[in-house]
Amino acid sequence: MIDIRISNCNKNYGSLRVLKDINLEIERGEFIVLLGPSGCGKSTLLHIVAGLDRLSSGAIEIGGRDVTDVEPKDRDIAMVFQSYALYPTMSVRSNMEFGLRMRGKPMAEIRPLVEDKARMLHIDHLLDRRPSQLSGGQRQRVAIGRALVRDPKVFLFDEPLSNLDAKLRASMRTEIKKLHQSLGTTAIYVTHDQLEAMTLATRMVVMKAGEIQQVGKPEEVYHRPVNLFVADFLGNPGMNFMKGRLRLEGGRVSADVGAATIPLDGYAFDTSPTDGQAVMVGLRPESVQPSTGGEPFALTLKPTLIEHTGSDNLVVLAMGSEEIVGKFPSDMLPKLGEPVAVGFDLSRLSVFDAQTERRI
Amino acid sequence: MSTSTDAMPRPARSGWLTPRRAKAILKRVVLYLLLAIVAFFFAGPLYILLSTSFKTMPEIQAGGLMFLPHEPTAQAWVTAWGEACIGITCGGLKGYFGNSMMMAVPAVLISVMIGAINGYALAKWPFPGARFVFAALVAGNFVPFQVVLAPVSVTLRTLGLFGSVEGLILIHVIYGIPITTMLFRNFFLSVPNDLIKAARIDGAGFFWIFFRIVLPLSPSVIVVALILQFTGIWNDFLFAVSFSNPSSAPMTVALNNLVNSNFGVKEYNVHMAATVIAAAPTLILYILLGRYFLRGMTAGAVKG
Ligand SMILES: Nc1ncnc2c1ncn2[C@@H]1O[C@H](COP(=O)(O)OP(=O)(O)OP(=O)(O)O)[C@@H](O)[C@H]1O
Ligand SMILES: [Mg+2]
Repeated sequence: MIDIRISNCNKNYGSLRVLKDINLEIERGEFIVLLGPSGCGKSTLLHIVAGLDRLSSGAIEIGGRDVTDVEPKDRDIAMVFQSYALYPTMSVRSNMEFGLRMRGKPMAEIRPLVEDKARMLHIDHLLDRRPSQLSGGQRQRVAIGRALVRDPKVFLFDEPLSNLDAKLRASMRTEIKKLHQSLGTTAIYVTHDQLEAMTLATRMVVMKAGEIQQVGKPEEVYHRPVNLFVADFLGNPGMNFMKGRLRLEGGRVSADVGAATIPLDGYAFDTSPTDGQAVMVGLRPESVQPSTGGEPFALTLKPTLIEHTGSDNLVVLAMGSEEIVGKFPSDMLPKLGEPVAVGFDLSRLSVFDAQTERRI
Repeated sequence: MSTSTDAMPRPARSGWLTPRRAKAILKRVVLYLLLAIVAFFFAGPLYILLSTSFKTMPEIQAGGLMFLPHEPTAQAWVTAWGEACIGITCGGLKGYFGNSMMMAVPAVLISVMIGAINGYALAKWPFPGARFVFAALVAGNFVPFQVVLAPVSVTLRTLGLFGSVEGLILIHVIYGIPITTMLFRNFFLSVPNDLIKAARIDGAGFFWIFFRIVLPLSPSVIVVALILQFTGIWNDFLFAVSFSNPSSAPMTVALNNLVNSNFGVKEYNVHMAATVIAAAPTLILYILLGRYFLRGMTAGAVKG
């Protein structure tokens, strides 16, 4: 069942087009992550779903109801802000009660609800404190608690973890995931953080300059990016790109990338390839591994730089005039300048047209 | 002062008066001298005012302006408050003090309240034309009193409020709105927008957000507005003298009439006591709320 439908949504600030014809359908219970570079319109889209910003044209439906002109409070949504936005002069308890009291729920019903959710988030001992007396992680929990007690139809998160340190982030991420699994409430979650996006999303939406680039399951977007932008935006370190030309010979397709000719027999083309077509061949670093001898395609390359990340070694390899990065296990430490045999996992290849930058 | 320790000469093993220290001490001396001069400049008149108000007329006529009273008496205060002749009535200042209070308190409260709501709307609820309204209000701050005297006079007569305390309240409220609006708007700009948005999602409307979330964040700017408005309205002379009649005249007008009266001997002790009474409310307000006033001024400056 469709829970949120965003149709032909545009948002302009004067002549600045912040959102361009956004279309998105979200099923009940999905956890949608909006990902994209700074300023691409993620927050704007979220605020439009919340009703905090008005759209220039288009329509929003929530739960089968057209809410385009409905006030935020009547949309049955709750939002968690990057800045937490806790009411500074109220206690944690009052913060969590506020939304319910505004809706005229009797205090006798509010109290147990708030205490229940506070226990669930391990903030029950903080209920009488002011937000200024809490740590960042605690404030974040309160902000989530305030959204939870409302029991809304949709949760909206705008970079809720970006003010936390790496460790706390990871644990809050897990908690949000668990929360979603137990509640099953539809959620839209904005983030910069790829790891958050990959781990939390049931589907992710990659945006660029106000346009949706790709919508799909995290692994699908990661392994089958629809264009160069998405391929480049996801992954750390980023995807290797090799410039080249397609060659069609005797019914077999290969890509000549200068230093090597990569066979594309197993590649599932979306569009039919033409001979001489200028392409970018993309391969993620984890698909460039030390050869075990069994790969159908391997090259002998010279390492020019090695970075240790702890869990693995990032090895920069010279390939003709270009360089590619391979992700080697930490116990595999090649020597600089001494050629090593490198195996390529060609089932993970992505090929893009150099002109249109689209996947072919 | 907490920094005075570095000027304190401490015994050292060899010659403590190094050139550096000598320079620092000299700086201190000059600083304190300047401060003393400024303090004298302001406190001197107040001292003369107070000491004279407790003297008898013969003692004043004998000279010795700078001396403390020989036989301090509160008679001048009693006269000033309840007996002195102002114009044709001889009931002292108390009636006029009442007029001033009846005028200033409502005028201050109303202008601060309206300014707060205006400022909140301008800062947090952008509407078409908000910039124009704000520009107009800023301009409103620079309209000189003199320019509006005649139009206001006509308006008050038309409304039937000329010569009444209500008329003065009305004009002070109108005249106060631009400055209070600006003050509050600038402060409210520093209130995070996310707070307003969160409250909107929680179901609070314009006034709920104002009273439950925005106003509790603003005690310092409220105090600043209260003090500015009270001082301005209490001390106003031009509007008071233009639009009041003898029965509705506020303190400033009464004090002027008392001091400039051309009949009989000039009773300096009574004049001084009357002056102190006229200044007392603003002084007391500063003493009570001064701390918040300073805090409010700087808080706005840092956050804005
Ligand atoms: N009130 C506004 N007036 C004019 N332009 C705006 C306004 N709000 C946002 N913008 C512009 O809209 C674009 C999208 O902003 P938005 O906040 O949605 O980006 P974002 O994707 O959330 O970025 P970030 O990841 O940095 O939060 C930006 O270019 C921004 O400058
Ligand atoms: Mg944003």
